[in-house]
Amino acid sequence: MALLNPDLADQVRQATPWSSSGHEFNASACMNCGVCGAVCPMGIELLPRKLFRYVLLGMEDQVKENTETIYSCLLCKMCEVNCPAGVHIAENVRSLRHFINRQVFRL
Amino acid sequence: MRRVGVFVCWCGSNIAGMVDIEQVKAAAAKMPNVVYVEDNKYTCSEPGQAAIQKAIKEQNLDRVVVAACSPRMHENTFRRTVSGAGLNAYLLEIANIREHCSWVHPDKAAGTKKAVDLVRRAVYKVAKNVPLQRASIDVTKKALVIGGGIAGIQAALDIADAGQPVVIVEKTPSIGGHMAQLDKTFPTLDCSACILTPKMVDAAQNQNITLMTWSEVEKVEGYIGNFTVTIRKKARHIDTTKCTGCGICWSKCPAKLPSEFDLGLGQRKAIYVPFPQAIPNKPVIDEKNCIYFKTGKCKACQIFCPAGAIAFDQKDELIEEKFGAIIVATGYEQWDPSPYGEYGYGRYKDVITGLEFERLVNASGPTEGKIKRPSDGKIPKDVVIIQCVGSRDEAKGIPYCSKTCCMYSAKHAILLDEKIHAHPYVFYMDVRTPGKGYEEFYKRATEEHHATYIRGRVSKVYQKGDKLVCLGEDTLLGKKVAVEADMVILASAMVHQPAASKLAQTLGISYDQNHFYTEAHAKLRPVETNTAGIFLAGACQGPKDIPETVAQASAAASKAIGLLSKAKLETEPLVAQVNEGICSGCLWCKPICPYKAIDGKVIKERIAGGKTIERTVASVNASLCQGCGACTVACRTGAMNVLGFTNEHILAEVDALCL
Ligand SMILES: Cc1cc2nc3c(=O)[nH]c(=O)nc-3n(C[C@H](O)[C@H](O)[C@H](O)COP(=O)(O)OP(=O)(O)OC[C@H]3O[C@@H](n4cnc5c(N)ncnc54)[C@H](O)[C@@H]3O)c2cc1C
Ligand code: SF4
Ligand code: SF4
Repeated sequence: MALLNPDLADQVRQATPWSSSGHEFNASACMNCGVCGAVCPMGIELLPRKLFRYVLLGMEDQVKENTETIYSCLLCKMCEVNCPAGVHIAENVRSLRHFINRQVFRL
Repeated sequence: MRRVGVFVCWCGSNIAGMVDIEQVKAAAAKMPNVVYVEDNKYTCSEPGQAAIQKAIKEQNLDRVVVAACSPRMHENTFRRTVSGAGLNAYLLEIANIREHCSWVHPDKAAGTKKAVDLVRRAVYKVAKNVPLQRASIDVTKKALVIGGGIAGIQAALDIADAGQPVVIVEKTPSIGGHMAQLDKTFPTLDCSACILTPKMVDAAQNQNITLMTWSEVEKVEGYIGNFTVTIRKKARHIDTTKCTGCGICWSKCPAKLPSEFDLGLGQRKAIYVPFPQAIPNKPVIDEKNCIYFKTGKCKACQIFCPAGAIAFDQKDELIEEKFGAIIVATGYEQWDPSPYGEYGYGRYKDVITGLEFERLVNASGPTEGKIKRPSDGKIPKDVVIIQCVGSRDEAKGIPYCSKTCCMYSAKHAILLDEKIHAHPYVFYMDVRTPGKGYEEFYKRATEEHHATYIRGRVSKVYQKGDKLVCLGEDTLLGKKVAVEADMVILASAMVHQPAASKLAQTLGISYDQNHFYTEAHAKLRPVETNTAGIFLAGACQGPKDIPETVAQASAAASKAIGLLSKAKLETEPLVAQVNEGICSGCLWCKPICPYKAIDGKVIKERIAGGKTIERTVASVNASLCQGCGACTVACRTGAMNVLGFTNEHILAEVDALCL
């Protein structure tokens, strides 16, 4: 069982240098329709739907465990143009990379 | 010296929580003309109103200020209160210290200061108020219903049953609307035509209903109780008094075209009735595609018509009629899913919309009810239904939920299993079934008819041999899935009629960002528009299914009946008035008035030396004027004033706030 922690999304938001530009991490509109995973050319099943859910629910360990996956995203935005909810998926992945750089790689 | 009474309302804690009532009272007591101040926990309650009436009598008040909520809520209540105590209803002013003050301020001191300012404004203004009288106008006892779908038919039947005459104006050759195109209807699976056609026949036979099909509303003038409407009766090229509907003409006509009613899946002739149960069962000639109209030769229909009913020289007619009430029931269209390139609609013949599927299952449809796929006529075995096509997809332009698709997709799944034992796969994001018997219906699709529901959105459809492969993710498993289907049905969104905004402009009603007509209040006035006397019914106001459409149609009808049953209507006296003495007759105000209420008139005037001259001045038609005040701003000489909001009133308010 995972203990939920609503602060994680805030931490991810704060980790990004552009956090005030209106492009900070935001995946709340996601309807979990899965079209993003289905169109992903890298076949990354985790991305972005489940990963975003880990962030929103505050499952920090799962986020950190998936560092490899977060870096294998091409930022091609195939998912983003197909997302019916208009989630800025690629921006969110970039935010997550900043978070990982600090938390995992201590950059 | 006036005798003004100020009544400050707490509205429970709504106002009193953020405004210091005692301070407001103390400040009000020092304002000019104020002779009495009182506070009440709920001024709108019966004791609150009784307190006002008592004070008017005992304190001999001649003006009243109520500091409470928005005048949109209780202005009429308090007008009745003061007139009940013998004061003219227009000697009342409201200071809105709730919506404009307590609800929007986080700081009590600032909120209190603003409340005092708003009360002072009202006190200064009310001192200038004069008694105004309401006038009364006649009501034309006839209703117009625009659109002859189930909404329009139901509304017309209800009005006719109440004994009032109704005209239905329908733009296509027959009444019936989309319901006539459907096969079975959820949640009971009764046949759509079986429940619709009796109503269509009732409408045609009802003495109080006049059907005007193949017609459109061209112009609307006037106001509640007295609309003057110009209707274009398009040339049918048929003498309907002679035509018996025998059908020989369309069987002989050589010009074949895609049928609009069958959504291009079937054919019709240039002379046609759109479907067998059409009402009226009289054809129209499609001028654009008729061989005679194009080349001057043919006339096959005329040669064979045993009744001599073909009238090639018929012209459009413009008919002007008066109505007391208007019901708009122009319905919806199914969205064209071509923008989803990834679903291949338009590219693959076997990718069809939900409405097209209705025609394929329908016994009067192009396949006589046999579900065959359009490309090669094969009976499909595996069928994918994709929900939310267009709907809930801001990227493709439709942010809202179309409300009916979950249910009609479940219906399609059931029909596929029941009729041809095909296996339905339904891709969904959410299944929404709030309605009586709806959840049970959805359960029936899964339990009894074994529809496979897959939670996820299809990302792509492509052809492989004679199959259509649908790719998506089952988000519950987190696995990508593929279905090889024989046919794909897109549950495409319900959208506005293409000409919805044009009709709104003709009628002077408003529409939302999705071009659905806007009701006067989302909760409390759901069938009225902001234009008095015009009501809404059915899917033109937003996506809805048949039960909801019919309920709304009957509601709109009862509003119209209420209006038509009045002998006279009272008009608001807050209208523009010309001071003819200083009006220069420039008529600058005339084109500015959005309600066409201003015209010029010639008056005779004695000038110095005893001579009489004639000159033009502006003149306001008080029944048309809505008191918007545009003319008063435009008038260069200041001759135009809205009663109750004269320049003098406005200046008094400015003084109260700024001096
Ligand atoms: C695929 C599909 C399946 C459905 N299945 C079901 C079901 O099983 N059960 C159910 O309850 N609901 C179902 N619905 C919903 C149903 O179709 C609507 O609730 C219903 O048709 C709405 O009726 P209406 O009269 O408001 O609009 P419409 O049926 O659209 O009628 C409007 C009428 O107005 C006319 N019109 C439009 N503009 C003008 C104009 N300017 N001047 C004059 N006339 C005009 C049109 O020609 C039309 O005749 C389904 C919808 C779809 C898309
Ligand atoms: S496409 Fe958009 S809405 Fe659908 S799961 Fe991915 S992020 Fe969520
Ligand atoms: S005249 Fe026109 S409508 Fe009549 S049969 Fe010929 S093509 Fe058809």
